[in-house]
Order: sequence, then C-alpha cells, then structure tokens
Amino acid sequence: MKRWMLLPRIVVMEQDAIRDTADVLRELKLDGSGLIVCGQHTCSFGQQLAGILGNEYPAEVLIVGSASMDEVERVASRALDKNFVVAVGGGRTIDIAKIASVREFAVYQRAHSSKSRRNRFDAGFYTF
Amino acid sequence: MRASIRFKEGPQSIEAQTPLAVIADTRIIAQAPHRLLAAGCGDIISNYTAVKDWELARKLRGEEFSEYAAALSLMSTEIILNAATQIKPNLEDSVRLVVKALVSSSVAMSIAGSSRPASGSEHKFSHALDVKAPKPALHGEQCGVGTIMMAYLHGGDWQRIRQSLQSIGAPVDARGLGIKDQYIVEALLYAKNVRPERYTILGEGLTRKAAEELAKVTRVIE
Repeated sequence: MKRWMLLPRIVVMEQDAIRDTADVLRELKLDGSGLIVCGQHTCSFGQQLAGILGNEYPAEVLIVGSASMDEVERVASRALDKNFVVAVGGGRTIDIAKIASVREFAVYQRAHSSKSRRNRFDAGFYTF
Repeated sequence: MRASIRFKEGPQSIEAQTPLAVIADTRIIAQAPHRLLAAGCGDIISNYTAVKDWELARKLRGEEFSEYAAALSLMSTEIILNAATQIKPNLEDSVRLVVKALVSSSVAMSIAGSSRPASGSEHKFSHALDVKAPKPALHGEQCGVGTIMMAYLHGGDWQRIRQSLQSIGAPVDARGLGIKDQYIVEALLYAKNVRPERYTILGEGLTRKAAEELAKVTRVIE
C-alpha cells in the first residue's frame, strides 16, 4: 500500500508532559514492557521516565552515543523482546530509535513469521 | 520517513519509522542550554530555502510538488522569522513557539512523504560541513548559516534571515560556528555531492571563486 500521509497519532506539548507518557501508551492500546533510548545528557530524564512508567510499563533504559549503524543495531537487538520504544532526547537519539524500530521489526518478522504483528511505539521527547 | 546516520564516507539517509506519538515537555526544554533551542530555529528557518529549491526542481526537473506541504513548511519559517525578537533563553513561551513550528514543519514532511519541504541546499551545506570541518557545529546552527547563503543564491531576503538568526542568538558566520573560513568554502564546493539526486540551486556546483564570493558577500567569512 502506498500511503499518502503517515502522521503521529498523538502530539502532546505542555509543562511536565513527561508525566503524561503512561496515558499516551494507554491511549495507543499498548501494554507490556518497553525500551527507553536516551542520550548521554538526557539519561536522567530517561531514568525519570522509567520511574513514571513504573510497574504498569516496565522499561529498560539504554544510553546511546553516536548516530551510527552500530548503535542502531544495538538498540534494535535490545528492542526485540519489547512492545514499544520511547526516545528521550534530541535529533540523534530520536533518529537512532526511529531507524532501529524498522530494523527490529524486520528481525522480529523473520524470527516469528507466524505470529501476529505487534504494536510498536516510538515517541520523541524534544529534551536535552 | 527517513533519518540520518553517519558513515565513514559521510551521512546517509536511512529508512525510519514514523513515531506513533510525540511528547514535548516544555519545562524540560526550557531548562536546556539556549544554544540548542537557537539551533532548532536554524533548522526551521532552513525551510525558506528548502521550499525555493523544491520549486526550482519542479520547474527545471518536473519534480512532484505539493502546494499544501510547501505552504505549511513556509508557515513554520514565518512563525520563527516573525517572532525572532521574542525567542529568549529559558522562556517557556519561546519553547512553545519553536515546538509548534517544528511540529508543523514535520507535518509538512509527512504530507510530502519526504524531507523535501524542509531540507534543500542549506542542509547539503550543513552535511558537507560535517564531512569537511574538523569540528562541526550543531546541525541546526550550520543549517541556519547555510540558509543565509542559499537565500542569497536564490535572490531571496538573506538579510532578514541573518538578522532573525542573530536576534535569536544563533550563529550567522564562520566565527560564530567556530569553524575556519577555509572549511566553509570547502563545504560550499562539496555540498553538491551530498544527496546528488536532490536537485537544488547548487545544481552542478559552484566554482571556488563563486563560493568565496558568496561567503564574503553574505558576511559568513571575512
């Protein structure tokens, strides 16, 4: 299918929006555990987010460095057993997560060709 | 959607997933160093020349063009140019303005199905600097300076772009970028090789003389 437009479903912009993340996940009908990808300078917000998501959405926090394919592959492999990815940080972090999300799905499809598609989620926090 | 990854030979555009949601915490962003918000403004002001490049590609190459995406993209730039004097460090209202403009710029790209409305010759210049300069500046900062020069090539209002960037606190020249003049010229010469399939005002490239002239006239180098 050729899509004319492909847009994010939910955009939140406000003070302390980080606290709305669980609501966003719920509204997207996501469940289970996730991966939080953050940069060196944004890892404190990544940790904060993991705390906010708590037991409802247990999340592993992964710090990424340069925007390289090695980092993309590292994120993709860690995302394999997760239901969603949240990128916390600037352009580099968000770009890595967005590409890893495509790669991870390809790997997943090869490994689980009979299983149904999972929901996947990557949100961008424009924070630094 | 595509995103940029660095390889030894330079940056490459790779297939990426459109996010299901975007969450912008304006309190966190307002606490960040102002330099980063100013760089974001440079990335949005890029749309000014990106759309001019797109129009050129439509006229000269018959490239597919979306009026809707182009108008939305230019609106983002106008938001920033018109509010340039109100964009101040650590001010939440400034953050809202910039995030709004960034979102409409992203929607423009989603509608076009490519980064065409927001990435043209000025982005090529920035990516060329990433390759040529020993210590590149921030992506958005480089794009802002690129927009000044590419606007000049297009016969656009490069002085307005320069003034706005200056008032926001973004660099407008080589010194501000912390990059030596020679690398600015090298990047101008190399820029045509970045994503060569994307047609822009750089066309077949500039001669060294023209590149030096361009950087001097726009006061990017001395």
